[in-house]
Amino acid sequence: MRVPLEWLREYVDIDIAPDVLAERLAGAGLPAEEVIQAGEDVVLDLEVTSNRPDCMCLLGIAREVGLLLSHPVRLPDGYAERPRTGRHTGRTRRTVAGRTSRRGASAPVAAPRDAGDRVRIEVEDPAGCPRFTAAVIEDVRIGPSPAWMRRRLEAAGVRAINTVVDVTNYVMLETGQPMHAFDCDRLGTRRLLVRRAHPGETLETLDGVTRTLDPDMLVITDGTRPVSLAGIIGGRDTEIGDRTATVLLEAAYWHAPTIGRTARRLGLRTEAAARFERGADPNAPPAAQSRAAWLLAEMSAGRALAGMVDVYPAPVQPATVRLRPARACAVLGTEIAPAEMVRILRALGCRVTPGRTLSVQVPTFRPDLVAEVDLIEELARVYGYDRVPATLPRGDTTPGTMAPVLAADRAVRDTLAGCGLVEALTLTLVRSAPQLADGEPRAAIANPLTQDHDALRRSLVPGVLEVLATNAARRIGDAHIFELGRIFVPGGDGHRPWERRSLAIALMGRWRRGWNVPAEHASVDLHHLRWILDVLCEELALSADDVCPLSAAPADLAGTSPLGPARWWHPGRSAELRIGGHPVARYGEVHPDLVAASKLPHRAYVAEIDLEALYGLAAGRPGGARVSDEIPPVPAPRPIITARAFTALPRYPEIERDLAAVVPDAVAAGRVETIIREAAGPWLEAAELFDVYAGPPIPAGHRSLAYRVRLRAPDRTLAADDAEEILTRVRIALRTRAGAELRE
Amino acid sequence: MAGQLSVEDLQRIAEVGQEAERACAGASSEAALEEVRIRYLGRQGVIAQAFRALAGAPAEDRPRLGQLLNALKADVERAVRRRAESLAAETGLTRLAEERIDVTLPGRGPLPGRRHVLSRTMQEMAEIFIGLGFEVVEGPEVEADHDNFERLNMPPYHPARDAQDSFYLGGGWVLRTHTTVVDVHVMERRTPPMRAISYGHCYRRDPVDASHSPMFQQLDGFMVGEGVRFSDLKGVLLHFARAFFGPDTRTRFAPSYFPFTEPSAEMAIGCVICGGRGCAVCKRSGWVEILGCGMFHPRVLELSGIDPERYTAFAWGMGVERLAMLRHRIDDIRLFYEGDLRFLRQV
Ligand SMILES: [Zn+2]
Repeated sequence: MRVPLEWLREYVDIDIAPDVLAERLAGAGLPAEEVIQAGEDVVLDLEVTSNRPDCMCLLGIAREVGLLLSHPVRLPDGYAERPRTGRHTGRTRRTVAGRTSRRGASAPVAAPRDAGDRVRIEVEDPAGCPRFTAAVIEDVRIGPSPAWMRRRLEAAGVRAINTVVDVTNYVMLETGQPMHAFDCDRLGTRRLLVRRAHPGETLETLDGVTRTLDPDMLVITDGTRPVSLAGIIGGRDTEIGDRTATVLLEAAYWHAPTIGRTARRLGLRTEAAARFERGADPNAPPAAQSRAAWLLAEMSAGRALAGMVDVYPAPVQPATVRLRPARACAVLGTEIAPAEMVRILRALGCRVTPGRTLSVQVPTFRPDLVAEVDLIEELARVYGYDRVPATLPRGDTTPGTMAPVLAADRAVRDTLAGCGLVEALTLTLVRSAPQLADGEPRAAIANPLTQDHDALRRSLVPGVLEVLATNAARRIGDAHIFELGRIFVPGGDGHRPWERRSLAIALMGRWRRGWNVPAEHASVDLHHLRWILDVLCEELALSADDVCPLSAAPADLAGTSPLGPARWWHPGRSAELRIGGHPVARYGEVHPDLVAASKLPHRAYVAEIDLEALYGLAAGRPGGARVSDEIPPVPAPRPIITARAFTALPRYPEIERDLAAVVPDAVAAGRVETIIREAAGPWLEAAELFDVYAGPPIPAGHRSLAYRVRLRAPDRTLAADDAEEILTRVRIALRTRAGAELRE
Repeated sequence: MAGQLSVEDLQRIAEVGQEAERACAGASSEAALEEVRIRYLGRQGVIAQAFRALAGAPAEDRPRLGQLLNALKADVERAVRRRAESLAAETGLTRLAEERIDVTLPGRGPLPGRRHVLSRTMQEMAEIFIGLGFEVVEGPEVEADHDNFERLNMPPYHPARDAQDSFYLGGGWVLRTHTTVVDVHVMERRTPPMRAISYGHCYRRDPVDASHSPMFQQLDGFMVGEGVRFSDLKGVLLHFARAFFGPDTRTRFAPSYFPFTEPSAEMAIGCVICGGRGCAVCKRSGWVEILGCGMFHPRVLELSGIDPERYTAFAWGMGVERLAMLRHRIDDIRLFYEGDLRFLRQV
């Protein structure tokens, strides 16, 4: 709302500097988006919240300024006079009241020289149009408006057009009442009918666009066709032109939600719609008509016929709201004297009957004041929010808590950062066109803003790969990142998508940096990724009980699986990690095709982890039950990550032995380790792989795996014989179960 | 050699002592020192021969000569030992000196990991409110239109919905436009008194620019109880602002409008960029808005089955990016979601 101060001064004295005025208005809820120096004048561009239709005009702002500065408000010429309504309007109202038909109200034809004789107004839908006034202006002179009016309109951001149109805009900006002018001679029957639009009916609006209407929209017709889209924009056919001689001026009051809906549906956000959808003043139209007539006469641009037509079957009475001063003080937490409350409310235009409970009659230009709490806000607003003290809540305070799932997130994030990973966040809004050919349908956005953001992500993997690509394109080739967030599995037709916590890790390039670091020690690889997964599992007090090559796992898990398809990964360099029989992660080297498609400069490694399942397992809920967004009936339920119990440090010495097994290449290291663990029994403390070797003298198709085996008994010192017995068992098991040859 | 001890004998002993000390000092290595030791202290050494020659000395001189020779032997042994110690120290130093490296070479090791500035910021904000007795909860990102809007007093086509143009999924599902909707879920599951916060992704259909992202993070909180006042809202948020931006932070509350609060307010803090003098970030006003707040509208409490006559409630909501941008002087919201490691490692 642009407020030229020169114009505002017509209604109220301003004896403070513009920037001080802006400050005061901001304190009252009307902050200036901008203070514009426009030549001699200053224009305040005020931000008006949608609950304040009364501030969508100069007079409304003048009322606020008068309230803040304790100055009276001057009403403009012609505004205060109530125009005489037509002879037949009274009968019209009775007619409406007496009728039960859907026909609504009508103002029948009368004797000449009265507006009611020239036009007939019928309202078929009084709920949509509670009030419609029409004035007829004769001897119209179309031409440029006076300079002062054009200057004010333009300062307020409205283009000056011609005398009649400018007056309607001027009155709207001044009083908040939108008006529309029809060329009376271009109205076919001179009978205006307000009704709901017929399905498929069209109207070419003033902006030259032909619009298709629906029955939820209100139109004004001339008896045969729509001539105006009620409360929003006029029709092209009845537009004021250079040869217009007689004008019908409309000032009405429309049902706010209907106007709001129509404006949104058609994408037509006009000044009129902005005012009507917020809720205008039902009692303003006559004053606006009389002000417009006064201005047209003053400008010698037209003469209003007597007897404005006013169809107002059920006049809106000012609402009366009860206000308990004690309640106001209790809600605000500050003491405002009842007398001060009365003063503030009266200054706002209310009629107040004092008492223990104040009876407050609210002016109809404040449709936002309907309940006690609305008046409490007005009191606080005028009294000053800054004068309300800052206190802390009284009563018992219970300790604050954090949802277990959020506490677990924090632990996971900290753990991964501790592994040298940088946390990235990417948009959950993605392209529905499958970048990664994942074949999965994604939950689609019905009204996307761009094609790049027309679906919800189904996996975190495309996002982290894109982060790698973005960095590679900026010549940052070493990237080790993770993202923790939700994925959305489509729920099918009209069903809610399934939100699931997920985690992705992506690695590329060197992880050790600096001079003279051998390449094989510097670069990330699959084993680096596996180490991170092991650390993560340990943090959650879980351990992988099965790791199998991804090539041996199902290519695609069930349609709702949170883990991606096997084809994302290099078939020979990827694995699935299972806990308790549940697949919880897929990881490995990114498939070369995907590396190429993602424009990555070299090999990359990615892990996708079903965090929701991991949390479920950590919390002891079998099957990885859902843990996200649960709001339990009472706070502080069981944590997901429980504090780990301390195991006493060993009291007896260990015995270490090295063991090298030559096994066929087909035997996986994981298998060898399992055999060692199973055969060694409870005294095995660790079996650490320290060397993997292939080449002479090891026969072709074989490799040597060397383990350092650490044995310890909890209750005594192991003897060399004990160790030898265990190792013998292990050797036998390796020979028989893995076909191993043992090297000493 | 019989009879009185001659001056010669005495001189000779003194000379041997001086020679031995010079030889020790002159030994430049452990091997050379060993030669010196053998020459004087060995079984065929000078001192051993002198002891043997003692037998030929006059009987009355022998004790005195014996004493002198013993003293000489002790002196030479001490000289050899001292030199051995100093030689050992010298060779140790030499060895360490040979192990010298260029201490000015740059460090070498992996780059440290780091959490995203927004996840750290949200955690820090949550901790401040936990300290005030709030419970941190989370809710879904896909919500029923009814919960996201109607239950917060925003019927369809309400003008306030304009500021929250939303993404729809079909079937009446909407990507939540604010985390205030989580408050509604807490209120329907719990009974007063209660105080909770939630944070996470929110979505609005705004074109992307330096200050708008279709997805952003919000942190919302509320408190319901008997006798909860607007002044308590001010107190809690003032505490937050000072804990987050520093103890000298100034705050200002101005009237605003949200359909779900009445009275509604906006809280601004003294501009952290210019210290209140006026700059581009605060549009020369010296103040920057950081959050919207107010007392929950009685209708919102009613819709959640809470008696608004008995209980009152306050609520607030804030954009996490905005706070992080102010604190870290970040001028473009898109940086948070681009994943440029130079940004992620920096803030
Ligand atoms: Zn500033």
